[in-house]
Amino acid sequence: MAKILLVDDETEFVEMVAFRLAKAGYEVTTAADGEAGLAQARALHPDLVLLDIWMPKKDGYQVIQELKGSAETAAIPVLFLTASTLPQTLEKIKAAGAADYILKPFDPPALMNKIKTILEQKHV
Amino acid sequence: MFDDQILHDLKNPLAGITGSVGLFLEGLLGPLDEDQKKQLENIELSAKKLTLFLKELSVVGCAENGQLTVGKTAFRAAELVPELDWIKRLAAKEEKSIALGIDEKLSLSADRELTALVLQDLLHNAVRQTERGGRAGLTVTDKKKDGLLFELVSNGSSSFPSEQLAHVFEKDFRTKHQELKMMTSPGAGFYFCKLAVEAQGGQIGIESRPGLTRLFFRLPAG
Repeated sequence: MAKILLVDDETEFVEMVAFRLAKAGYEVTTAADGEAGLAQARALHPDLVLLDIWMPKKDGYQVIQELKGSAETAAIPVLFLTASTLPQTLEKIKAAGAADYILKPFDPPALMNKIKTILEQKHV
Repeated sequence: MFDDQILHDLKNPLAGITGSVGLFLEGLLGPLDEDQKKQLENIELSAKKLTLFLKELSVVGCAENGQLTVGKTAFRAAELVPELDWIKRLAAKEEKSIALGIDEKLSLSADRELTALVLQDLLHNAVRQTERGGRAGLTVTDKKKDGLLFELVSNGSSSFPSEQLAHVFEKDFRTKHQELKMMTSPGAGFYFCKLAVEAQGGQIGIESRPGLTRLFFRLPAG
């Protein structure tokens, strides 16, 4: 069973996504800010991190930078969840080493497909 | 138009609404009776419309600031059909239907997301203009060196005055012509469509006479 860490500060959104992922058979852990997300990633070594950008304590860019900067966590793929369509945001996401991104609001099947693709590439 | 931060803040809670409603409609929270299903579908369809308007405003904001990026890829036009599913369901609720004529093999070279938004906008508008019991249509044809031609027709009794046809894609058309407001797409609507099509190297146009309005756009073939 693949382990997914969901890091986002929108509580109701997190509950919805976590429920959907759990129903699909994934083991889900959540964190409501960047710092907690980093701590969970280091402790759990998830197969995938779903990451928001604008969060308290540390934003998504800082989180991915620290994940990619450590040999222990560099290989964990990151899928950004963002409501911003600004080109500079999307370029920054790609440049940071994210596996992919999905724009909020999204169709749930689109999220599940992206997750499946990333995990297949990682051979989970 | 709105700045990106406001749009971002509007889209975030909308993601929670659409996602949670989806959990019910997909049966992940148990069976629903017909009334529950109907009301949840209404929430879902309203959220789809709002999502479309917000995404259009984001694109318009980027385009007006010279920041619109177009990611061209080759894909089949038929791949966009699932993204029109919510409009088909909306039409069915209003006792209207949609005739789709898209050859499976036709492919185009365009920005998939932008093209899907334009199609949703124009098809939604075609359905709005179609009389109850009537049929809106979308066809895609290969015009060889002129690319793919997307045509959307509605059979409503209203039509645009001929002297206004050259202006319907202008930004302030809906504000200036309140009497024609119901004939154009809500939100940034037609203005968005023009920006999105032209950013991809395409052209957009309209023909209208009583009983038939035809909106069309061309994009490079793939």
